Amino acid sequence: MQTIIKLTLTNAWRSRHLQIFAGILLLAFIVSAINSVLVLKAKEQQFETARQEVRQAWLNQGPQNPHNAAHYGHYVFKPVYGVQALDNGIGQFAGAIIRLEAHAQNEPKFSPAESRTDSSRFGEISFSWLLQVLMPLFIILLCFNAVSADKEQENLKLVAAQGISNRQYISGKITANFLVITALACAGLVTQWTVIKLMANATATPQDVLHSTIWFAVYLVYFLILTTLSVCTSAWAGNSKNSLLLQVAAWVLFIIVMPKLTANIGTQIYPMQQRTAFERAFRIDEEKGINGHDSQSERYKKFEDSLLKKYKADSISELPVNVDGLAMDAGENYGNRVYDKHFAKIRTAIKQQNSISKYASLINPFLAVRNLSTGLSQSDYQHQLKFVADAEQYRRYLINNLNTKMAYGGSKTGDWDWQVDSKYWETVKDFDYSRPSLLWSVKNYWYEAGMLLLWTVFAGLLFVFTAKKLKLI
Amino acid sequence: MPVLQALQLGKQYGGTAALSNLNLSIEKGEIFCLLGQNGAGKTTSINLFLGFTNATSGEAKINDVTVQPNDVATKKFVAYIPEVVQLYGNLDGIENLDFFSRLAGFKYSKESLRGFLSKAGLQSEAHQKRLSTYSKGMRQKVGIAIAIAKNADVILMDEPTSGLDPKATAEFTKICKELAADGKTIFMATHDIFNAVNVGTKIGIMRHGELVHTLNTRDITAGELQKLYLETI
Repeated sequence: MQTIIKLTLTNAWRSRHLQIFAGILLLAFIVSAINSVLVLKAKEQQFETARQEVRQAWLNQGPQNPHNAAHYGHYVFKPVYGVQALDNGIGQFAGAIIRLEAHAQNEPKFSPAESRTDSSRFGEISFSWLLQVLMPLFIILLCFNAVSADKEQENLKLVAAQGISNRQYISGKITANFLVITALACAGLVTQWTVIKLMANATATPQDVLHSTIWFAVYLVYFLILTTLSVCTSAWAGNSKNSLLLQVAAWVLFIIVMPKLTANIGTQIYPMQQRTAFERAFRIDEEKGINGHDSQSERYKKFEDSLLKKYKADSISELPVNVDGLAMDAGENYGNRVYDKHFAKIRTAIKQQNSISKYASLINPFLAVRNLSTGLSQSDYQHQLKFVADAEQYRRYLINNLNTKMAYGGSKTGDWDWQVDSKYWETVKDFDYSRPSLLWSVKNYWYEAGMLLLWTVFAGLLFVFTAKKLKLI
Repeated sequence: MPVLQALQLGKQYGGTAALSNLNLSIEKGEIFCLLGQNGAGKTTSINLFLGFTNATSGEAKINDVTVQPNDVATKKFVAYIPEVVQLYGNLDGIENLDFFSRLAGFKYSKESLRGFLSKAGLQSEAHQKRLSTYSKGMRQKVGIAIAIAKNADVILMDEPTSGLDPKATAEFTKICKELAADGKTIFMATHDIFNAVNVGTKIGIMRHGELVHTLNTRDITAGELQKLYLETI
């Protein structure tokens, strides 16, 4: 087997067209590394500066009415992680900044696609794209004639006559080509690391290293599967030309067409509500509630009555609390229920749409790897959801804190000019986003991980079967 | 004991017999030349001895060991020179020889490898040139060197002189005779009647998968053989 490996490596090393393709790939690695690091670094620096400015503005706003502060609002920023330099996932389109304010849950805004028209027009070369899409093409170019060329040039018979078994021969071919691919992928990873080290200083935390390692291992498994499939196809195909045509066709189908197709099927089967319809339904529910500013509604009257009963008072002015604060808090609670109900529908629709590509990874390992890859690099939809949920939780904490201050801080009902002193602001905690763990990131993708394992087993069986059935003449 | 033996050997492809009831016995040091038209069963016989395909009836034996497909037991006794010796164009002569020798389990020094190539008649300037620059005759010589380096008892050759120029054929014939003198057994399928008489010790003529005549070359001239061959087919 070692002899076969050595021969295949020498042949690949000396092949002109592979040299050219590998050169292009290496160049693309460098471009993608610079590109992704630039994007992340810009985000990271801008966000960190802005985050500090926002907090300073909050702390230094001086004496102020709490509800004014609530309307002025606050901003939270989705943190940037080093591992996202490997796979930016939905980062291009997902908003990373949320404005938090009273009465409303805002959507995340300011995705790179919104602010950087150049990249959204031309698309970006990312490391994950190179590994997911371009590397399989390279594997095909490397392996499509692994066995068929030996057949065509009668070398296979000579090799077999020397007393080497089919199994040794094919496993040697697979191993050697896999080594070539691994070496190239490692070169890409080293490029990525080097550029990160040179251009950004402290982006790689131990957790980033852990995520990156597993991330890379997933890709190596993917390459092993593809190499095995390619070499075995070469053994079954009548000749090299057929083998190449078949494999390129499979590449187009599984890697180019199917991902788009699953996305389209997803949106067809599970259509998302139109934005206008969503907003209309939302308004209808919202208007039934109270918001603390409108004292005419039926719910508001009920709310007042319950307060008078609770404090055993006859009129609002007798109450020891500021009813506006309490009413706004009740309004928040009601509004939150409306938001939760309507956003849950949207999220369910997105999850259902995504589930098509998830289940399609049974017949397409590319989809399994793509989904796992964004999960491990924490640039997936699940992570966006977690950020939005955490930000919303913080908004509720923040607004509740302000309303409570308004209600019990010593102000009278109807006194909207009342101010808290400037020391109060420090008692409100800053938004501290806790980064999800590795296990959290993986647990949404057990299915995909299982499918990748299944594909590995399938590739192994195909190898055994091919070695058994390989026809020499 | 015969080195190469076929006992009622037969091979069918989808109902048609490519080879039927072949009985052969070839001794050490003999050169057996198999004549016959394309499709007469020459290559099938060689493939059966190599275990590249399974026999539908009878058995092929080398050194009294029955040949089984996907079994490497008899492989060490045989060397093989295919009709087209293509080898690996990106490797030079020495590297090709080294690769195939290692497959057979031999690790030779560079000097020994050069020795085999020279013995096969390849001029030493060519040893370190890539095979893609070689002529057919030169590649054939590397093929012969591979067979010599394997040090096998039997060398099976499938139309080894097709496409060779007369000088290369003459050199090839000379090498075959030397190998036979060293005690090797050669079994060769060929279309070249003149060369068969020249190099062979025995000649067989095949037709429609059957061995029709077997004769000793010392009993026959090239002209007589040609006449017999044309009458047979």
